Amino acid sequence: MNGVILGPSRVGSKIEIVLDIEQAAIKRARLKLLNVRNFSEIFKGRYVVDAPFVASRICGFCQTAHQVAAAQAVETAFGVEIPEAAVLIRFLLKAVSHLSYHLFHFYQQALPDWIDIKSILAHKGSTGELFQLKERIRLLIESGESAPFSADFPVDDETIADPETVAGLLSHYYMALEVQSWLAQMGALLGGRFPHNQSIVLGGITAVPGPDALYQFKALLDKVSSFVKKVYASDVIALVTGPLLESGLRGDGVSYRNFLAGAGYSTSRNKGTFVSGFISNGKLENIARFTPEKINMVEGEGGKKKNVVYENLPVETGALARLLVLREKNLLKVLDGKGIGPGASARHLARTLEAVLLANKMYYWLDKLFEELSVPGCRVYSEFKIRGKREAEAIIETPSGLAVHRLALDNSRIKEYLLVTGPHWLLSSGSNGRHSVIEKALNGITVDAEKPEKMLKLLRIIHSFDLCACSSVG
Amino acid sequence: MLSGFKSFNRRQFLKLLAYLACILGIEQDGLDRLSRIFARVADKPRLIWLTGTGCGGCSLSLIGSQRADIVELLGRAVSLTWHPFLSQEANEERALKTVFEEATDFYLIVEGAVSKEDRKFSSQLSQLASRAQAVIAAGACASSGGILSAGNGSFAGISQSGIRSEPIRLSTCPLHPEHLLAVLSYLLYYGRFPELDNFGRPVFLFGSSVHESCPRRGSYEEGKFLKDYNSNEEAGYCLLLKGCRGFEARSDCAVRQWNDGLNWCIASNGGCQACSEANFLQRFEPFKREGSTQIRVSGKAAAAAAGAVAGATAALGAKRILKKHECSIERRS
Repeated sequence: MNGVILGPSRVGSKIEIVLDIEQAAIKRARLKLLNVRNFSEIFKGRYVVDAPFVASRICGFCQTAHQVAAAQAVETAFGVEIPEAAVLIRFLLKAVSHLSYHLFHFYQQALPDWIDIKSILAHKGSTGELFQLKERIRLLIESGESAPFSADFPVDDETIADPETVAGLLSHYYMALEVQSWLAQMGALLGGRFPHNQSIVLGGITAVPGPDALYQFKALLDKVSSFVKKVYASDVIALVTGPLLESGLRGDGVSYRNFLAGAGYSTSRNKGTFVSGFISNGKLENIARFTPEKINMVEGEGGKKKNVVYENLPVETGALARLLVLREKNLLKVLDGKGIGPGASARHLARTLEAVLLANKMYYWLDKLFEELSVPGCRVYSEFKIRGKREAEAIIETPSGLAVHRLALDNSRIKEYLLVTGPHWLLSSGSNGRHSVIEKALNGITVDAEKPEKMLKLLRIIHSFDLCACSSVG
Repeated sequence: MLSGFKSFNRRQFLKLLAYLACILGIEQDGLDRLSRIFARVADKPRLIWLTGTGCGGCSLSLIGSQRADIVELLGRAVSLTWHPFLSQEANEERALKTVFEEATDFYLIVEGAVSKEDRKFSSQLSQLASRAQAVIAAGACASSGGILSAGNGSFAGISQSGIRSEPIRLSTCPLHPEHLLAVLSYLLYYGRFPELDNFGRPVFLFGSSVHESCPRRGSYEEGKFLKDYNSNEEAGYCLLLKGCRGFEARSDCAVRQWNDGLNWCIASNGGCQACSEANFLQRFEPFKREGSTQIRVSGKAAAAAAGAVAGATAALGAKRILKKHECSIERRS
């Protein structure tokens, strides 16, 4: 059967996947982006000072990283060093949206593929909060309005149906929504508002935060960090080594096994929290040096607009690539210890461990910021004049992967703007390849387009990738 | 915190109702009816959320709101039948099948701009819009094309795409979550549309300029303008010289602020970019100025803003303000 079209929800941009199915398995998958937003066109002719504001709108989820990338590119081109306090505030703001992205990705986008909401009805308790949740969901199911969940969502033999596990996960689903509001408040404290921060400008940050804002930020960070470590991390580790283990052992979602990471959260003075490097062909111990010149845009099949490769290979960037290159010990311990392939489960696990790592790092940055701000006359902004013709570039890690912002400016105006985002790598297939990173991961999966439960495996793999709104920009 | 649903007790619920009653102008005898709107379990009107083309920031803005909590508060008043980022159901057509089959009681919310090439979305939109109780354009892209209208002209707001009823526009970039809460509550409580301005925005939310209620208006009147972001002395000064567009923006941000009233653009010295106005990027750029000498005021708002500056300065006998900062007002049509 050829040309089965799937337009899955719970991804940040509109995509369509066209499947050719042969003998109950995917022979060829083609991922199409609907409605590409041409940002190069939008940027052209705009004022250079506005670049961060426009860049923020590339993606509602990776907004802060793109905002900082645009600012950093221009600052570097003019040799401007922004004050240390501004660097730290930018790191903290980026980390806020980074955590927001990872939590949303797991609880709201991926988890619903794995649970059957009806299972909670068999929850044994007769008092307490999980019981209240069960009663509430029972009423919702009876009235036919269990949104955003559906009582008739398909289930297969890997769906989590243990009532206690489902009750716990469902309650965490709703808690994760509350954590989103804490993160938004943290973004607002240092960024003016969230999403689309207002305080990030060329030259630094617009305001010296007061101690009250910093203490409020810290109080919220305590709550977020506790959720990340005690709930998010334990949920994901328990799932990946439990109900999702079969899927991990089968290597569901494994693609080309080429991983590329840049030095995230770094500046010329600050060593990055993440290190850069390149892993090819699944040789995880063998980390090659990352050379930006090896990033290439090639013509792909059918003249795809974005086909971005490294050493002419299709590569995967994002949390899994970052932590593999970092050789994060907890990730390697679980993957090696259990024999889980670098695919769908590994991506979820990597995001979680990265969230833990970032939450810890945020305390460090916040302490440094307190120190910086206690010095009289502390600055957050360096004024500079934008004059002449320049080429500017920033290579930066965003929650969804490695991004490149490259622009040419002529005095106050942007002449040209080239963008590569994390998901662009996943949509690229290399110079000779026929399949992009995501398409490759879908090939060979057993499906049946007539039976929704036989499509779950496919959905679970799609929802392990980073397909935020960054995908659909040109 | 373990309740599963957000920690949302009776006290917080009442606080929110009082807050809503203030926005909607509901008096004490109406509070009971308002609380019943948010205490339903079944028979709730449906809410269908469609996304055109955008960054997803409006959804995230709503999801990150404590006051306009999509599950605990909005979820009590309406049933979120379809939201492309949240619905467990992965197949949009299946989710909307019943809605297409039986014209039911639903509100349509659209996020993102409409691509002129995307016929499928346009036809889906016009079919649903013709049956909806109300169509709400959530955010700048759905309202006027937003930042995407600055590209090659292939994107527009939803009303230019041939839908029958004019949408209610909540036009900030991103959507202000409390605006959506307020409008939905208005529709549910009064059972009619709120009064709309020329751009289709509810007057009770967008009726005055940001400048009018700006907490920094006092320093504007005194001619105190912020020049250096690092300065302690200038903290709280008017951001006019930094490019603030509060004169021209119509929204209640100064009163409502952002993220549950925690902060907002002007309090962070970021200034207002007039994101509530149609095509704000093209009309109001540049948003930032380095010790600029000109204040450019565009379009219809020119006269009003010019009047405001001239009026304020004249009232203070303060031509010196303009002179001191070498400001001049240039009209642009």
